[in-house]
Amino acid sequence: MRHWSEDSWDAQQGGPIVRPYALTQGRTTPSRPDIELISMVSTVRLPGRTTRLQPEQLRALALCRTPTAVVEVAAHLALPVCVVKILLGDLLDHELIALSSPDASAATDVRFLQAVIDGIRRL
Amino acid sequence: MASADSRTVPSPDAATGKIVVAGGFGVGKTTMVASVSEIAPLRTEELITATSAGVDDLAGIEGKSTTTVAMDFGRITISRDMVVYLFGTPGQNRFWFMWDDLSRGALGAVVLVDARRLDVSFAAVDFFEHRGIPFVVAVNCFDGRQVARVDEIATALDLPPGTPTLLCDARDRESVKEVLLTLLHHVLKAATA
Repeated sequence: MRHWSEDSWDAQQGGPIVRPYALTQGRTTPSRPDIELISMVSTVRLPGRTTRLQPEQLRALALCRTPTAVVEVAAHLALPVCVVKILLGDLLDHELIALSSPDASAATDVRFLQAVIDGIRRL
Repeated sequence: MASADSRTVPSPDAATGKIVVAGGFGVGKTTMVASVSEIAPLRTEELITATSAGVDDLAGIEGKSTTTVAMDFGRITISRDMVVYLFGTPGQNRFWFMWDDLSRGALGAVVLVDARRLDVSFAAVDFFEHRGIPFVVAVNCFDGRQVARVDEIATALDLPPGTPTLLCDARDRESVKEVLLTLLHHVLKAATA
């Protein structure tokens, strides 16, 4: 008979449910409401030795040295978006990242739209 | 597709926008995104619970009634100060609330249609029409053959008057650029009306 500790914890088996819940330490909503799919995240400083972070948060910090949208962070970490928003919320609370959220009125912003049109023409 | 090395790095406060590519299962949404994206489309997942009305909430996650829904997206860096993301909607209709989240704040939407299976795109047309989100209908001609006329499709889909409808090849970059430009001009017209 195998001892229980011999069974490796299988992330796949644990599924997409257990792991995220553990990562967020049971939290179900981000500390900030303005973290959107296409909010731009950029690392502003590296954590001090006493700052306790999850490995996924350290990976997010490394990734966002180049400004990166929330949804891209989620894709690279292979974690659900709602989980990533919670992890990023912590980084914001620690003032390790800066967040730039999209302008809700972009769809009616003529200058923005014209710039996008010009940009797509140049592709 | 531009290589990652040549990418313009966006500034930390770059303005971002999103365009939604919707349509039924298997009409070519991810193909369309891939045709203009500077990166190979990325896939991300969202967790949803059976009782959840929204996706910004992990409540109930400890229960068993949780599922994941995948969405594919691509990126176009317009300039250092501007990045546009293209999102393919999950194909299944039961993920409507996911569409809500994706569409909030979107510049507009492309409803991608397979002329041989118009029925799978009715729901997408209804969705954007009811929410007042500007959209265009792009008929994906998979094999280069035109199987129906644009005006026939517009009638069959009962499109609101003035909805731009055009043929496209989702695999072709220039064709997809034309679809996006048609959409953006339509959005611009609505913005200045």
